[in-house]
Amino acid sequence: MSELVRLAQQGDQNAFEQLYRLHVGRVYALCLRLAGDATEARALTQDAFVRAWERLGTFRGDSEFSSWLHRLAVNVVLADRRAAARRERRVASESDEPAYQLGATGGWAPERLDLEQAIAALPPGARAVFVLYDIEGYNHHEIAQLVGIAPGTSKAQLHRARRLLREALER
Amino acid sequence: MSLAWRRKRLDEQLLARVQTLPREIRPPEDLWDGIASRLSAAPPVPGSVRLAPAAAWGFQRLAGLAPPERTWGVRPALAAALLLCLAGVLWLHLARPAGWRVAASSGPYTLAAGRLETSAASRVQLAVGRIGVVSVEPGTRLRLLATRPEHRLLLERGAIAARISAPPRLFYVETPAATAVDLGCQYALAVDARGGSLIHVTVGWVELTRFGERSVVPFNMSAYTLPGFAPGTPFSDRASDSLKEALHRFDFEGGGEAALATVLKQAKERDVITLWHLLARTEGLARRTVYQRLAVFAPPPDGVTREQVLRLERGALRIWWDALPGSPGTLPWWQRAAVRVSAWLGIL
Repeated sequence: MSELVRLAQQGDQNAFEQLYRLHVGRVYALCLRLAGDATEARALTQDAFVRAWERLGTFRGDSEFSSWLHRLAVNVVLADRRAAARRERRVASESDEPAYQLGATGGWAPERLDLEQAIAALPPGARAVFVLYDIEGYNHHEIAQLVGIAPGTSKAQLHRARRLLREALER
Repeated sequence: MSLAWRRKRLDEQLLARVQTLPREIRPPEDLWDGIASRLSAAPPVPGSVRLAPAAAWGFQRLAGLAPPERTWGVRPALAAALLLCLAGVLWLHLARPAGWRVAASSGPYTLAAGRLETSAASRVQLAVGRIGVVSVEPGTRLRLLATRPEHRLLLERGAIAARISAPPRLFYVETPAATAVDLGCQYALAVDARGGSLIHVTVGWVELTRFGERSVVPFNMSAYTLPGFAPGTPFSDRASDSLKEALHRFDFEGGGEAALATVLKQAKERDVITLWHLLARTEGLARRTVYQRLAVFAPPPDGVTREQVLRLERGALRIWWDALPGSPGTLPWWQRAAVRVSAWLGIL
């Protein structure tokens, strides 16, 4: 277990902030892609780190801290989505922030932005499975457990997401 | 070329593009500030945080929001008259412009780039599209996030009073601790310096959500929220102080069985909404005890069994909820319509 994690577990907020700086890029990318909305991604990323702070005591170092944090963030997003399942329409964000900002590794290529926008426009269920399977590398059984669906449904949603993306990108 | 082969080829092309997506995306610069403010109230070992008492929030001073003694004491004749008024004012309603708009103000305030801040002595009345009005109290800072299809603002600190007349789930207020979802209502909401909040509903009902958990706060009830915690359990305006204090300990301070025992001991018929929420916030013997106490004041309706409730079967809980005094389901249609029209016209 890293020294930063150990210090954060002892209540050291400076150490936790360093952990935040190290991992926020990936967590925010995950939240943004799962939520498909910058405003929601902002709140979800904050929720994920606050929850990580609260649950640091349960992290035993059996896995990488990044893996633990990542799964926790997925759970926060999916729990929020379940609670908000009744909201069928996505919020049209009119915040000051653009939907996507420049990536930490450089600027967006136009085709990359098209793909991000196409992913954001997917139906929530299909988007979640696509992001978790094709981008984050979870398998269908893991996704089924996280999302609360059958593995077969996960596969069906993946096919649906890929089909919708192909159609969107070919337009 | 077979269809399957073509589909596989297209999938490969798509996945090749997916591989080019960045693993990291730079978040907004001020994201950490919001997290840090919540960490101070949510240490790894929760239980030491306490909100200021409700009296310190100054809700009663909020303009035009002194809660009515009996919100649903509207007689059928009045309800019919109000419904007739609906047609008369429809044109006025439709004539209002969409989006956020400052309808009135007193004293200096700043509004730039979607951020609104009032001084210690100023107030702003904000029109929420065509669906209602938000009164922004002195010393408040908020952000206007979205205007369609839903209206959404972020209350960072201070207090607002909202009067909304629209179908449910069109008006959202984010706070550092929870999201308040309008279900057709009038309410006051205040956020303190640490991000904790207190909501007091005077007409209709509001849903508070965070971490996938929720509280439904009907009229003449309030609820606390605290960063890092699920929304607090709603409590009646007429609940005893000892019940409120015990509920706060149970929700936010790890009060456990001792706090719950005090809540159950102090509970009266007016507290059935509180008890209903506690069913899902307890387990095992504690849940059975909550069930027994709730059943004393509001026996479960026909078709709802003890076993269903203890298993937290959604349908059974919903039926019981609809039968509870004070829940939306107990209002006849004309009272529900009267409440909605009254809120719209701002006469309650």
